[in-house]
Amino acid sequence: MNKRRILGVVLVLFIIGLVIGYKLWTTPPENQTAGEPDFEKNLQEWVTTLDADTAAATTFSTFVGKSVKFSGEVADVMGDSSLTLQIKTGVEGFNLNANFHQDYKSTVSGVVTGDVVTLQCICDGLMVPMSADDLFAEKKIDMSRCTILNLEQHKADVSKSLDHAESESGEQSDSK
Amino acid sequence: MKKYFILTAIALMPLFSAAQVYKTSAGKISFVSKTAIEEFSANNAQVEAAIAPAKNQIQFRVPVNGFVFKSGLMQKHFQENYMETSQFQYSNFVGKLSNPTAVNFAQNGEYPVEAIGKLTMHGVTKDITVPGKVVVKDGAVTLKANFRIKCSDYQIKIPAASAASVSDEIAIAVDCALAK
Repeated sequence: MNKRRILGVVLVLFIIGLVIGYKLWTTPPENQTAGEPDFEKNLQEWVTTLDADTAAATTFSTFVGKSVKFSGEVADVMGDSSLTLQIKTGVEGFNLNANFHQDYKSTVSGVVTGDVVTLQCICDGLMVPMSADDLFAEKKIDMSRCTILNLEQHKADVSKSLDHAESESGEQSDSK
Repeated sequence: MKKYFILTAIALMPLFSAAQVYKTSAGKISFVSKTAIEEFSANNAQVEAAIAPAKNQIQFRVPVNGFVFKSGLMQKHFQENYMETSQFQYSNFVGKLSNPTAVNFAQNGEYPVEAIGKLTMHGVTKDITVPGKVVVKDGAVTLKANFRIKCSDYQIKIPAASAASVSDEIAIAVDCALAK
């Protein structure tokens, strides 16, 4: 009787282990950052400090794998299978690429060059040119699993054109 | 005078086009590990690639954390235990074409090439030769390659418990569309 009970307990534990293992194994990776960020940064100040640091690649390792919240203006939108926003850092020759998983393509599809975004991402690394011959002359921060926390769409051109159209129609009606 | 200026400009035009660099920050690399027990793959769409035809120089930079797996646990193991990305955040390839004259960057076509260079991964640098092709279409250049590497060559340790499910030899596919 005791033997049977022990065998039963072992079998139940084994099945529970199998279920947990299977669930862990099949859970997809988290493609977006959530919750409180590990760091909140003023992008321009951060990049200026990193640009001046001769051992920036080493210094930056503190941020690798950590979530960072920051704001910046979109310089370019790249990619097809996933989407990458290149963010202006305010420092010449220093780029920041914020990558979004393809599942969030619809969320990012409205973002265009000139928009100001607040993002929370995971830091993947800081790349600095390896030599004078390097084809990648720029320094670059790579980030992934980004989330858009706030989006201020660039409306300057639209409002200008609307004003222009209104003033034109006004002038036309006046002349009539 | 105007005639000389135009003639000089025409004469110098090939030099300017040859000095151009084709680049991308959104290239793709994927890899597949296949054993009798398990097959898995991962994709990375954050690859930086560049080719400078005039200097016969090719370069790739791969943020290793950019590899996405189907399984979150597998991705975590890959980053933390295998590639140790907290220490080695990037993999790099710097090289050149062994047959640069085989590619006419001014004419549409698929050109078989061979890239020779140094691959740095997991902090280890090795000389490698990679067969591939350069596809030129309407001014855009696509670099494609399929090759294999051994994890053990780059001191990527596969735990004994995973040896049956993770292959030492990994098949890598590169597909990077570059623009001027």
